[in-house]
Amino acid sequence: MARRTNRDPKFRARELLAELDITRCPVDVDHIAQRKGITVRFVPLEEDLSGMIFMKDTAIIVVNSLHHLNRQRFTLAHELGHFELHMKDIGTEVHVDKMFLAFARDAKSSLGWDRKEVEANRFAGELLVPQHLLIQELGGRLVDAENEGLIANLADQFEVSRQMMTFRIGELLQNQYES
Amino acid sequence: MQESELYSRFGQLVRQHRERLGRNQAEIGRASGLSRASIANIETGRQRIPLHHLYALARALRVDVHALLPVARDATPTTTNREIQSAVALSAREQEEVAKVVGFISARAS
Repeated sequence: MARRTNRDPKFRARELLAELDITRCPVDVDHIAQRKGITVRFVPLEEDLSGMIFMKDTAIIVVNSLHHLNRQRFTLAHELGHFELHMKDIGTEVHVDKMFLAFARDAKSSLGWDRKEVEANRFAGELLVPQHLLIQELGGRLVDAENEGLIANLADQFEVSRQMMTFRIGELLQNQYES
Repeated sequence: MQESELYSRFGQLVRQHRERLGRNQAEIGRASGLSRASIANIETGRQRIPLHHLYALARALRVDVHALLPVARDATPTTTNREIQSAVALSAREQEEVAKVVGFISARAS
């Protein structure tokens, strides 16, 4: 059971936040990368490319600098997820992320990478909007996933897109029903 | 690459392709003329198969034999000939850009 928990992407994200003593939003993802000894480069790329990660002397993460800042934060958090969870599988290759939410079933996605993308997304969601910080920010207010004003405010506070905040609040509501 | 690693990576590829097809081990066993136990052992890297079984497996999994062969990772890559992996296929133009960016950054990193 413990082993299973340790492999959970969200658990790993929470561990990383605790390790680096990050207790406030917005979560400083650049700082996290720096503390992990990762080199981050912001480079203009083709529109559909979000970012990539590969090993040189250090791990190197490249983020598409043409995207919205919140999107860049998500890209960096997603690549940090690959760094924490999948470096063994990346090995000497260059792992490229294109359109996070589209998982075409082609020859390459069949090699287990679509599962890893979902894991990196879960990691990124928890890293950028940690559940305990979200609950803290809500401060006992009633949550309504349709309340656009509240969602916009929270999204600004955490420096994430509104879609991401809507998704995280949806997950929070689901978790509360399950527990 | 260690022999054991080679077989375990081969096994992983077999399992991934089987799961992609949504088939269980018994079904792939029947389609390839191997037993369910053999497929299970192959997938965990415990069984070292002869060449003709590789072809039978590839046929059952509906892939080219090359798709089941692990890529050697012990060769030191240069900055430009690294394999590019992605969950979504990249266009030729995107691949070219990735190679360029990786080369550019590698040349300047540390």
